[in-house]
Amino acid sequence: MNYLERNELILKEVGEQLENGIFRRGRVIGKSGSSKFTSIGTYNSPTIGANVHVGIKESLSHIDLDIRAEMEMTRIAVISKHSSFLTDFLPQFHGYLLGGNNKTMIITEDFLKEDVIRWSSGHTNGLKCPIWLIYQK
Amino acid sequence: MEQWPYKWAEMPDLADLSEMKNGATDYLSLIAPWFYLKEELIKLDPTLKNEPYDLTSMCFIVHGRLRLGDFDKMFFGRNIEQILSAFPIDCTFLNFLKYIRRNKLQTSKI
Repeated sequence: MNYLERNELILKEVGEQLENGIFRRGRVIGKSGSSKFTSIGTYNSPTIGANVHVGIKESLSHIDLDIRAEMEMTRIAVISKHSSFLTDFLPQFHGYLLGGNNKTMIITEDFLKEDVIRWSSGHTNGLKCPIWLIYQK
Repeated sequence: MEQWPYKWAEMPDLADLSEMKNGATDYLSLIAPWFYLKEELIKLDPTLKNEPYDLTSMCFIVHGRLRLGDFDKMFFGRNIEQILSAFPIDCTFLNFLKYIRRNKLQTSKI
């Protein structure tokens, strides 16, 4: 299963959780000049067999996030296809969400709840590199 | 230390990095995946080699995840069709747009 296929399955699960009213706005994790990220909850994903922490990114300006969501998904798709060694650093899932006010939000992993993932030399997929460029556990 | 093997960016000054990123060694480890990615991207689109690139403005990885906003700089403002044309994935541009829109979630409960 590639990243896009897995992403689709997780988004379906997240959609079901949204439909069931499981998620609630929680802590605002971060804020920049133009957007804020809010944690909305956690569920256990059958697709990956682990907890998925979910958050939403919202625009704080009049600019909608739909184009940004599509561009980020494009970058993710390219990275996962052409640089699979970076897959561990991609969000577990990424998509966009149309809210009740018809405003588009980005819905993605709340990665602050995850432990930091480190590379070992075994994750370089055979690429040659100086040793100081390899993440160590 | 080995000679910096990449020509598309100047090695940032270590003193500056130390101040910016709370430790030059950590910063070097953060840079690593970008160099890999850049190298891979240049193989696919050689024109990227001549693009100006400022490493010092990027944060790379935070809390174990890539900062996707910084990837906009990596792709130099290309639109979706241009990116997928230069870096083809498993589906066509139109199918990719369908994928994105098919997976758009909707709720009034948040």
